[in-house]
Amino acid sequence: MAGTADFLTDADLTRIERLMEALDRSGVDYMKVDFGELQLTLGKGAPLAPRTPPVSAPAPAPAAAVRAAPAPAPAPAPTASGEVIAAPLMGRYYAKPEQGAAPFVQVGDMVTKDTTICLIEVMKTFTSVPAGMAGRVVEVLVADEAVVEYGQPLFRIEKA
Amino acid sequence: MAIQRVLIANRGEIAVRIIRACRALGIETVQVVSDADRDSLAARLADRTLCIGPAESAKSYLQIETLLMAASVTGCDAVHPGYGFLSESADFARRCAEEKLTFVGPTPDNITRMGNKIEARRVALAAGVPVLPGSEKVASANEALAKAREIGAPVMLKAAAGGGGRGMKIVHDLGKLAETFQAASAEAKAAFGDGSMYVERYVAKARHVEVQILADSHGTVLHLGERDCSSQRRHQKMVEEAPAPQLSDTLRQGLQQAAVALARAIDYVGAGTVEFLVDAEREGFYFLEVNTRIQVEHPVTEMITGIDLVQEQFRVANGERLSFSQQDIRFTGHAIEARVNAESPAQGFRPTPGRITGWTPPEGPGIRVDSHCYEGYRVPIFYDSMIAKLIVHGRDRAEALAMMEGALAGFEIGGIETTIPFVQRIVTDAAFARGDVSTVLVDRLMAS
Repeated sequence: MAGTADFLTDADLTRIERLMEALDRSGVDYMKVDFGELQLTLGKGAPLAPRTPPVSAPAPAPAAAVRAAPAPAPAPAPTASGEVIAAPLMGRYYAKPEQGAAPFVQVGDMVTKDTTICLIEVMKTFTSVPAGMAGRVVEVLVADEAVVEYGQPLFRIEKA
Repeated sequence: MAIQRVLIANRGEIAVRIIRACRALGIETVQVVSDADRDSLAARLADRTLCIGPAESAKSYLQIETLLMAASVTGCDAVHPGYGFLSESADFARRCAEEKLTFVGPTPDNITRMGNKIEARRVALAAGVPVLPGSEKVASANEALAKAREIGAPVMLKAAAGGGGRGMKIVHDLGKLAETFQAASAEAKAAFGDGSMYVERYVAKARHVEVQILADSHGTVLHLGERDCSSQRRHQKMVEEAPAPQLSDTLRQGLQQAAVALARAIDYVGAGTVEFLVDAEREGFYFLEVNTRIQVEHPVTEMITGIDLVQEQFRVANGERLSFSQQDIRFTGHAIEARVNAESPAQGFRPTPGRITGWTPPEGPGIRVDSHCYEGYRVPIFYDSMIAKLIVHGRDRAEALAMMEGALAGFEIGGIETTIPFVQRIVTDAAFARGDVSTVLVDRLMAS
C-alpha cells in the first residue's frame, strides 16, 4: 500500500473526494469504482472497507479508504431490497408514455440496461430515463406525475 | 399582487441573507439546492427545499429551465437570483417574465445593456460620465504622440492584440514616447503578429470606488453613497468600506451624481452598483462597469444608511414606490467589511474546503456576520470559497478599524485555514489605517 498516493494526480484525488462525499450522503454502504489502472472500493464502516475518513484527514487516511487493488475486492452483498434507481434530474415523473397507455415498467418486469423506465419532464422537455442495469423491478417508489427531486429513489431493481 | 413565495436561485450566505429579508417581509421561501448543498443552512432555514441537480453548478444552479420548473411546481410567484450564478443573465430574467414570475432584479434590457461593456461605455459617455481616456488604434509613433498629448502623461501604450503584459509600456515623459512606441510595437508584432497599438491614460495609484443605486419602477433613482473596495487580490475584493475614506466632497458628489445619471439614462430598476476607477493622485474618476444585482459588499451600505437593501429589492419588484427620498438618506458612522474565505494565505491562497470543526463568530454592538457556516458544516469543493463576511459599524473610521481588529482576532474557525490572517494584515497596515487605500496595497502585502 506504500506509495499509493504517488501516482494519484490532484485531479484523481478531487474525483475520489467527490465519490467519497457522494457515498457519505447516500444510503449506500459501498462503492466500487474501476478507473482502469486503479480500482477503488469505498465503504462506510461495513465489514469490508475501513470507515471512510474525512477528506481533510492527514496523509495516512487516503490509503485506508483508497485501495490500489490489483486483485479486485470481492463484491459486497447487495442489500436485501435490491438496487435503487435514482432520479437523474429534478422534474415531473411520468410512469407512462402517454395518458391511457400502459406504464413503461411494472413490478415483476425484467429490464435491461437500456430499457426506458420512465420520463422526467422539465418545462415541457421530456427526458427518458434508462434503467442503467439489468434485473427485475421489485418496487416502484413514486406515484405517476409526482414531482421528483434530483437523486430521489424511483425504483428498486433486483439485479440479474 | 405582492410577492407571496419566492424561489431562491442561489446558495451560501446570500441565500441565507435573502431568507432573512423574506421573513421580515412575510414572504415564503423555496430554496433550491444542489446535491452538495442538501445540508446547507439555507436549506434548513427555508420554508421548503428542493434538490435540483448534482453538485456542479452547470447542472444545478445554472439550469434556467430546471429553476423555472422548480418555481412552477412549488407555486412560487417570484425568483431572487442573488449574486453570481444567473443574477446577470438577461435570458434568465426574460424567461422568468415569460413564465409570469417576478424577477427580483433589474429589467432584461438593463442587464443586456450594462452587460455589453462597449455599450455600457457608450451609454456612460452619452450621460456625461467620464470614461478612461483612450484612443482607437494608432498606426504610428506620431499618431500615438498626438493622442498622448490629448490624454496627458503618464500614458500606457498597449498592444491592440495584446495580453499578458506583452507590448505594454508606461510612458512618463512624452519626449520619450516615440522611442518606447517602436519597442512596444516591435514586441507586439513579435508576440501577436500585429504591431498596432493604442494609448490609454495610466493610473499609477488607482482606487476602486463604487456607488450603490436604488431605483423604483416609477422613475425615482437614488444613491446610497459609495463604497471603497480597493483592497483586492486578482480582482477579488478582500476588504470594503463605506464611506470611502480620503475623498474630497467634490469627488464624492461627482461619483454619486454620475452613478445616478447613468442609472437614469437606462431607466434602471432595482438595486445596482456603478463601479469607478478613481485616480487618487489626479482627483479624477472613470466609469468601469455596472453590476446589475445585489453586491457581496452591500452590508457596509446597509450599516451606514440603516436601509435593508434586500428588502428594498422586494419592494421595488412589487412595483412599490421607494418610501424615502434622497434627502431622507442619512449616512451615519463608518462601516468596514472583511471577507473570510476558505483559503490558505500561506500557500498562495489555495482553497481549503473541508469540515468546520469549530465556529465562534464575534458578537457585540455594531458587529454583523453574514454567513452560511456552522460547526460541523463541510465547505464543499465545488463553489467559491467565501465562508463569511464580517461587518463592523463604528462612529468613525478609527473606531470601526479598532472594532474590526478585535472582531477578527475573536473570530474562531476550527478545522480549516482561512484568509483571516491576511485581512488582519490589511486592516492593521499603517497606510490603510491612514485611509491611504489603493489597489497597490494588497500587492505590497503579498510581496512582503
